[in-house]
Formats: sequence, C-alpha cells, structure tokens
Amino acid sequence: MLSTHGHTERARLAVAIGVCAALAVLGISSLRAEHAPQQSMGLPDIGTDQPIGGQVVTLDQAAGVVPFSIYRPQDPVASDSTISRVMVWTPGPDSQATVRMEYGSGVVVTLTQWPAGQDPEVSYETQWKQAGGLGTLTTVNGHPAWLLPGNATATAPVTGSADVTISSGVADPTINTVELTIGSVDILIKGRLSIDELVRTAGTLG
Amino acid sequence: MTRTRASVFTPLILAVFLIGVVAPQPALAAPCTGAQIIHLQAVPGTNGRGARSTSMVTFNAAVTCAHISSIGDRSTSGNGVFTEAGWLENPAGLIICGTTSGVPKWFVFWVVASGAATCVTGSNVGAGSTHSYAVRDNEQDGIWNLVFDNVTQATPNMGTFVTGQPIANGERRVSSDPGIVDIKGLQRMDSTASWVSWTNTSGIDNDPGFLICTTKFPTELLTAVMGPC
Repeated sequence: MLSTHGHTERARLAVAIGVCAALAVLGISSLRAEHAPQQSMGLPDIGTDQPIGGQVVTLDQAAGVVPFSIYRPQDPVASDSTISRVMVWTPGPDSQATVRMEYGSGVVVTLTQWPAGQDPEVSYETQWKQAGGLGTLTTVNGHPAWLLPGNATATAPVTGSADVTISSGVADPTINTVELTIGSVDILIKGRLSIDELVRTAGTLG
Repeated sequence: MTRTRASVFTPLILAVFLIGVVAPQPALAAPCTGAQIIHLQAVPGTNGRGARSTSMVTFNAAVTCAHISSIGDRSTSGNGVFTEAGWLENPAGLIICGTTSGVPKWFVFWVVASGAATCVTGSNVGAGSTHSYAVRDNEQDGIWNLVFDNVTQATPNMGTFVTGQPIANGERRVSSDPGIVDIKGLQRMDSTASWVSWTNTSGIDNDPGFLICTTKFPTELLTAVMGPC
C-alpha cells in the first residue's frame, strides 16, 4: 500500500513537473515570437548581405588580384583612413573578380567589372525599367549612375505577356544605394546614410 | 502528506506565476503574427553560372502565410544580388509576387545590385506535379534566363552579375505553415556552360521544425518534419 501510494505521489509530481516544463516552454516560445527581429517579409529571400568566400586582404593586396582599378571614396563617411575591412574575390572560371570595402560608418563599396557586351548606361536603364522605374538615373561627375533610396516607389508599370503577373519593382527599405560606373568598373555604394551623403561620397571616387 | 502536496503544487503555482510575468499578452488574431523568414537550404561546394532542378515536386498543403520551394543563384560578395525560380503559396499577400489562392503558382524573381526586386508570377502548378526550374547566364553577359518547364519566362538584366552560389531553397514565414520541399535533380552550370550535378553539398537549416535529409545530397534537397527522413 505504501509502495502504491509512493508511486501515486511520484506520478503526480512527474505530471506537475511536466506541466510546468510545457508551460515554461510555451511562455518562452511566445516571447521569442513576439521579439523576433524585423526582416523584409515581402521578398522571397535567398540573397545575402554577408560575403560568401572571398579573402580578407589589404588594399595593396587587392590591387594585385583584380584586373581593374580600385576606385576609392575619400569622404568623411568613407575614406582610406576609415576602412574597416577589405575583401577580394579572385577572378576564375567560377568566380567573379570583386573588391568589397567596408567602412566604419557602415557604408559598403563593392567593385566589379562589366562583362563584355554590356553598356553600363543601357544596363542601368534596362534594370530601372524592369524594376518599374525605381529611383533616378543620372550622372555623378559625368559618370552614369542610378540612385535608389530605400523609400523609392515604382513610377512605371512593368508589363509582360498576358498569362503572367509582374510585380512593380520594390526597393530594399533598409538601405540606400548609389551605383555608378567609371570606365569598365561598376561601383556600388550602399549604406544607411542619406542618399545625399552617398551621392557626395560617390563624387569623391578616384 | 502535506509536504508531498506542497511539492506537487508549488511548481504549478510557480509556473503560473512565471507565465503571468514572462509571457506576452496574446496578440489579436492575425494570420502572420510573428512572421519571420525561416529557411532550409542546400548549396554545392562550387559556384555556377546557373542553377537548375530537373524535377521539383509541388506540394499543396494548408498554408496561412507563405510557403516557397525554389532554386537560385546568388552573388557571393554580399551585395544581395540573386536570381530565383520556383513555386510559392502566398495566401496572405505577404510576398510581393501576388496573392495566391488554393494551389501554388510558379514564379521567377530577381534582385539587382541597387536592391530593386521584381517578381513574375505565372500559372497554377498542381499538387503532386513535378516541374523543372532554372536560372542561368550561359552567355556570361549579365542577361539571365529564368526558366519554368524549359520555357524562358523572364530575361532580367543583372548588370555585372554573371556567376554565383547555386542554392536550393525551402522557405516559410511562420512555424505553423508547412516547410516541406522536395527539389530533385540539382545541377549547376559550370564554366563550359554545361549542366553538372552538385558536389560537396551542404545544408543551411534555420528551421527548428523541419530537418534537411542530407542522405539525399548531393542532388536532392528533401526536408521532413523532425524524425526520420
């Protein structure tokens, strides 16, 4: 009898602990859901703002790897003295020569080379049209450029065949972008600074 | 006996207190409350000028927010550029590809360096059916072909993007939605513009409710609820 009673008490205790554990887990799960980081929910999302592969190098080392000039800004928000990291991707059959420069202000400047057959000005215009006229096509110091603030909205419909639906282009609301070309080099400047600051920065490239 | 009763009920009282203090008040009913991007992905060990699934299975489970099955190719420099093709269910209109109702639809999608994103959504794809999807830049000119069932559906100008990391992707926004995908015949386009099977495939699992069946690697991304694959 004592033994049976002991089993009953242990069973009750086990049930109580189980209930407590379940409730605690539920509580923690709810808390996590409530405080999940805000992300760009509106996009299928396989892209990444984190580099994959690549090597961390110095500017001099990068210059020895890529077959193009490494244009660099000299602005208070992005200059040689405020570079926090330089990364390079070696050109190869399955790799595209790329230089990525990260600055203390959070600005990231990425340089790649235009492939044969692409006219930068035409490409910007085509991309702009295919995105529903997002942002502004312009020049910076005479170089073709596309300015795209994160709050830009589509200005033109995107059309296609009758049996498909094409969304209006959508900008990334978390970031502002200036993209321009000097010679054969595409220069992408991204940051959470204002678009005016990024344009000013682009104006110092050399 | 009294002590025993206390030992039984004290944790209960503590638990109720704990829940009352820690847990947030329930949100008002909303279909996608707490939505976040949840991924199950596979990538090969080598970059490619394109990615393809020769046979992607279509699932049509009950979806509240979003369910995506796709393949794609993404820039490795961290500039956010990618091309993508697959099917999706989007009943809450959470994703820019248009709201779906009932069965999934095929879609192709791209994000260029400036961050501009565009989606083309096509016809329904029936539950249980299999289709091929591909993204490729075999000409290496920055003009990509986004392909559904061997028909090019869009040719976005991707600027300087000509090669990247192929990826197979299962995606949902809330843990109560289905997370299953079965993406077979995974291939990448190599430097001779030939389709070759993936090698050295690895998984990226940010989904606590599903697992990647790595036994299916390198040519298939299959996900399953926690348990045997």
